[in-house]
Amino acid sequence: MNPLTQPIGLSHYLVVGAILFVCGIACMAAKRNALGVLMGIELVLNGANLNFIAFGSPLLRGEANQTIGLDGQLIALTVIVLAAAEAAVALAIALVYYRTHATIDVDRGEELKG
Amino acid sequence: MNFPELIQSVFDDTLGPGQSLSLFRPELTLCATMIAILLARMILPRWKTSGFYLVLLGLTLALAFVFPWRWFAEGALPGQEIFTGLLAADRFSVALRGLLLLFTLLFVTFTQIAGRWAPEDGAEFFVLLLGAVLGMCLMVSANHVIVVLLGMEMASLPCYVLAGWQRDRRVSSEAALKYAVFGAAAAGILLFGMSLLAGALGSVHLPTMGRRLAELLQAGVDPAQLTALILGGLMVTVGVAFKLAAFPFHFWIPDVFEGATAEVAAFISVASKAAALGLLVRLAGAFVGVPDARQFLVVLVSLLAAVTCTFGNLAAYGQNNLKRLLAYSTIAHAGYMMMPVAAMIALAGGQGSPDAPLSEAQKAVAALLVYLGIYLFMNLAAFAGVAFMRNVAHSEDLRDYAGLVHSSPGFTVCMAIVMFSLLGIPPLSGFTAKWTIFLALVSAKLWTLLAIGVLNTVLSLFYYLRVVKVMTLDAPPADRAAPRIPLTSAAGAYFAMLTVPVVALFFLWGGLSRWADAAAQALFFTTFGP
Amino acid sequence: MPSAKTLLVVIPAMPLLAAALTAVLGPRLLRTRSHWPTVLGVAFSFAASLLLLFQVHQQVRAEKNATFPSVTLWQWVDVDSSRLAAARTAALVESTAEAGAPPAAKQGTFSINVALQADPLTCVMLAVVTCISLLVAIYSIGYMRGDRGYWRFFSYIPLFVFSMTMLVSASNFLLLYVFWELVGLCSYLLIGFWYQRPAAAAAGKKAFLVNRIGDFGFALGVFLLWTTYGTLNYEDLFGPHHLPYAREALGTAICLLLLAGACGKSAQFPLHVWLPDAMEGPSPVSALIHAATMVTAGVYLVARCLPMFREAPGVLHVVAIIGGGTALLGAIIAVTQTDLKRILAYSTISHLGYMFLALGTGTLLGAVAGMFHLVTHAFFKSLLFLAAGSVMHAMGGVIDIRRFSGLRRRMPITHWTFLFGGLSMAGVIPFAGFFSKDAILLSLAECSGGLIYQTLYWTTFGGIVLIVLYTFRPYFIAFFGPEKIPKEAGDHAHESPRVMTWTLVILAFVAFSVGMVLEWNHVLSDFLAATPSWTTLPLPPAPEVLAKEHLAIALQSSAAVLITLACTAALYLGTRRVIVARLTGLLKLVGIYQLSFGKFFFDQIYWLFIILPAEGFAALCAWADNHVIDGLVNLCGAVPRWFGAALRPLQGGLIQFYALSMAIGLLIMLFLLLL
Repeated sequence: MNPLTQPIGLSHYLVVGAILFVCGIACMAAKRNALGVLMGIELVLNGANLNFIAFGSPLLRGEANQTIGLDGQLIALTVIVLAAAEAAVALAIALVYYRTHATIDVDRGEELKG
Repeated sequence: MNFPELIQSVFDDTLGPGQSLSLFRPELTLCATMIAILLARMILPRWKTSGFYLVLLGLTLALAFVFPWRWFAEGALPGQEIFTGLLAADRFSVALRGLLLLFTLLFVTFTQIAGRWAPEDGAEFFVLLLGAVLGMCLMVSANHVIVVLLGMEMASLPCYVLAGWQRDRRVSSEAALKYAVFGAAAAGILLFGMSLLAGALGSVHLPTMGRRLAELLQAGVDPAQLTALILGGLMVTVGVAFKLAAFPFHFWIPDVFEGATAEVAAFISVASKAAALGLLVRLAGAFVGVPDARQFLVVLVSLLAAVTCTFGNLAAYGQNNLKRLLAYSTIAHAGYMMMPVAAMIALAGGQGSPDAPLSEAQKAVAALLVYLGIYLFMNLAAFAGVAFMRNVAHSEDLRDYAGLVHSSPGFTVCMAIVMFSLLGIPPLSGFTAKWTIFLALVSAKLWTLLAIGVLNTVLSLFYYLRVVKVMTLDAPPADRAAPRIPLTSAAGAYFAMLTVPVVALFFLWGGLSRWADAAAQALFFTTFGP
Repeated sequence: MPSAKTLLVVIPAMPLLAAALTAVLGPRLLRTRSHWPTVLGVAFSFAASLLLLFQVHQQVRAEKNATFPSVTLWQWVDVDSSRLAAARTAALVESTAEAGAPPAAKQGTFSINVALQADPLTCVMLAVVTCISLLVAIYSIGYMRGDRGYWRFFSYIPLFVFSMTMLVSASNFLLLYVFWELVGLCSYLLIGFWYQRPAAAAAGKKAFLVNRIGDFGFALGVFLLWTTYGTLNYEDLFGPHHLPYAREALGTAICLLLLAGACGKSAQFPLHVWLPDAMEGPSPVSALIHAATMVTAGVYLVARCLPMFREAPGVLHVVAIIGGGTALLGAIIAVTQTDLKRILAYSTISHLGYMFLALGTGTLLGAVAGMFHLVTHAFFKSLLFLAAGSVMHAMGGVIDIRRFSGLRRRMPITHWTFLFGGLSMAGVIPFAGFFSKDAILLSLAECSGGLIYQTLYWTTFGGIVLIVLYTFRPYFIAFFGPEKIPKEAGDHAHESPRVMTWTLVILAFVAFSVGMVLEWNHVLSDFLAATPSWTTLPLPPAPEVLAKEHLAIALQSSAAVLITLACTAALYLGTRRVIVARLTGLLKLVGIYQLSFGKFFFDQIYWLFIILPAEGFAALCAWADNHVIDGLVNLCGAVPRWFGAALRPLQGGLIQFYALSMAIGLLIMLFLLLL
């Protein structure tokens, strides 16, 4: 059965979420630029958010007792706020890092090791 | 249920006979203190005391709220859910929050004595600190996925900033960036894992998730769901292991500790670990009722504990920066502290109700609490010693501690006591801590883990003793003035005061273990399955 | 009026406070005023001890089976481990299957309390200890004046008083053991007080090592108690509803091990060799620790465990024989020594032997007699030591009785007080020693133990003659005859300062009267008989029968004492030294003199059979330590260091690498799970 020909269901959302997650992880691991790494983190968070919303939707889930209902959407909203806070903090730190290192390449910070 | 009824029920739950809000008073006090500091700073910009006394007041109040001792009397506060199941309010959370707040109280005093920043920065430091503590308090009483996320992020974000507190130092900003990137990645992975678990189990309420898992495994589970469960479980483990600094998710700890100030390192090393362990107990406690999950978790946690402990002790060899050495020692201690959790999971078979005498699993949790209570003092003392030495000798290098016994004998004796206690030598409380957790391993029949724990204690002997050896036996370097920290100075007196409980808790063993027993007694275990 | 519980805590607390205060403030602030905290603190505890004694006495008189005050300071260890308990039950079943009798041990908890209790036995000990300590502390103000370690001395003394009072008021064996070791430590510190002198340092070491042997046995005994009964509390072991005692081999083993500890501390054969050497310490220390209080800890221990000793077969005979043998041995050696303090030391050994002997009868009469003698001995022996110290003080450190004589004119008070102490020790009616010595003889005569006790009775009787001889020989030599002063004395060969002489006078008064006071109306024996652990001991016969027996013994012993006293005076007074020389020659022919003078060559025997092999073995061990063990330890340290060094590159500082290892870790976990 070809998922592309199926009506849109829960598994489609999950696949998109997983793709977002993998892209985010890859971005975090591969990017040298701190901003790139932060973007990767955003992708991961959004992938998780998509999962929560999909799981919370009775429309997609069918069986009502298995859904997490409004909780999914609440978590998604919370995560958006948390992501914003995290981005703010991380960007501020990146700014300080830039002031002392004159770059935001994460692999330039290698004074701490051993 | 119509809308007004819903509102009414939420209202009742919050303010009504359930009294959620009254059990939440410590956290509310923390929030109020933060706001008060910020307001005071806005209204009185020249206020030089930087809110220290406000913080002290707030923390004392919070501690007073968290510790109504009558809860520890027989049968009181058997454990309940508050805020419609978001938080668990039982004696375990009371005890851990108490430990956290007590630590913060000591810690704030410590930063006031040792801190070397401009007074106008103090307010921000304290606000961030209290924010982190608030998050940690939520972590240890988490009963719901949303609180797990919220607590972890609230605890982590201020720590990132605190790690980069010395803005002009290159290493400081590097430490902060590494910490932030890592922490965010771990949080992301945890969140994704949580989403998978929640979806597969159809709930975000931790005890319900456990119950659903049992039903699911009994009814038979399809492969896709099982994959989601396993992947989700592992991802959550990664997130928690990151906070715990378990191998191989520990890499941030040495770098952050070396880059950040000793004060911040002490905070992360004690408070953050305590909160993470509390969260681990909560998460594991939700699933231990399921036999399959139990077997899985025992192997996972034991393995992490053993590897972490051994790695921490091995890597601490040959470290010359004392803060870095203590970072690895922190990793090793995180390993020790995961051992009673493994024992708890192994022992959580069936029994265990609020009224029954302590089950074996609850005793393992009590062992963890005893360890945490002692670890709090000795690790704070160790970092305090490093910070005071930095203020005097402007160095954290072990070589600069050479011959310290000649110039500051009292300080050296206290430092040696702390080192011996971290090692776990009998007339000191570190021995009590190790003895208690090893006893838990014995009752859980985790013999391999016990052997690894004992072997590790021997391993750690060399590097702790090295510190003592350098301080006492090595000749002081001739090219600089000997650092002096008399015990009559504020720093020396504070340090000596911290070593008192390190010694005394060995002699007050009985009291400590009774307290821990009482705290663990009402720990709420979901029980189902054989 | 403060409650008994408060008093019980105050008694050890005040000296501890004084010790801490002097140790902290002594070197800088107090200096020559360092005695004040000690004197005040100990005086306070003495007053508290008297109050406590009074209260408990009232209690004993008021009701027959009184519950005595006890106070739990804190619970030290409280581990409730069913696993430990189960293991112990298994061990217990095995051991009792061998031993025959099943003692019902308390199960389940490993809990040790830091708790104090005050029964009559403890109260008497407390009163004696604090009283002597107070007097000795006051005496030391004069004796130690000008010493460089003045403050050090006055921080050790209250520490000792603290330890000793805790020792006698502890309510379980573990606590007893802790303070048993602590008084040993104080003794070590004070013997080696003048550590610059090699002899003092060596004596301190010797005392410490010999005591270790006994304490090792004691520790084993405590372990065995624990595995057998599962408790170390006096309440469970000696209380009115105590556990049934293990008989047979197990019970004997426990008792003998405890006895080994008692022998070490109380300098009984064969562990008596340390006490004479301990006289290298300052004289007040000899008086306080090595005559009156610490050395009686062994007697206290045996007295405390007496019911248990009774139940174990053969143990009482061992106690009695060791006591009787040591009493005779010490007395024979004391007769020929020339060092005044050593003569007194051997007499202490001998008198401690008498106390053991009395306890060895296992009857209530014997137990009370032993404790009675402990009390009177504490007073007259500390008096003699302090008087000897006064002599030593005046003679510039010389204590050899061959080098001075005729001191009675120069030092009248010392002379008279020494005479009082001597008369009391010799047991001349109505001095204190007379009553306690007769009590011991009476208990031996009344003991229906067969031939052994009969023999020991006559040995003791013979010993009495020796006591008189060795007490008055140095007395006549030192205080009578032509005046002879050694040149070390310089110009201070005169009476000691008033603070010392007044203490001597007080002690002389007590040493004279304490026997009569305690014997009057049987105050002491009635009081001590109420000790919970002693209620099971065999009661003495009816008072009328006893009185008759008592009178006969008193007449016999008094006759013996007075005749010997007259003979000694005749021998050593005036110019009849020729007879002494002839007698000595006669004894030399038999060989007894050499044995006595050479202290039965115990030091040499021990050197040959124990120290020499031990030194050889130590040399072997040192070689092995240097070449084998060190290598192993270095290897143990080096291997993890190599591992550590190998792990260090992991922490390369590169964030991407960290992320990679995180991912790898996740994969490994997944892999392990799927296995």
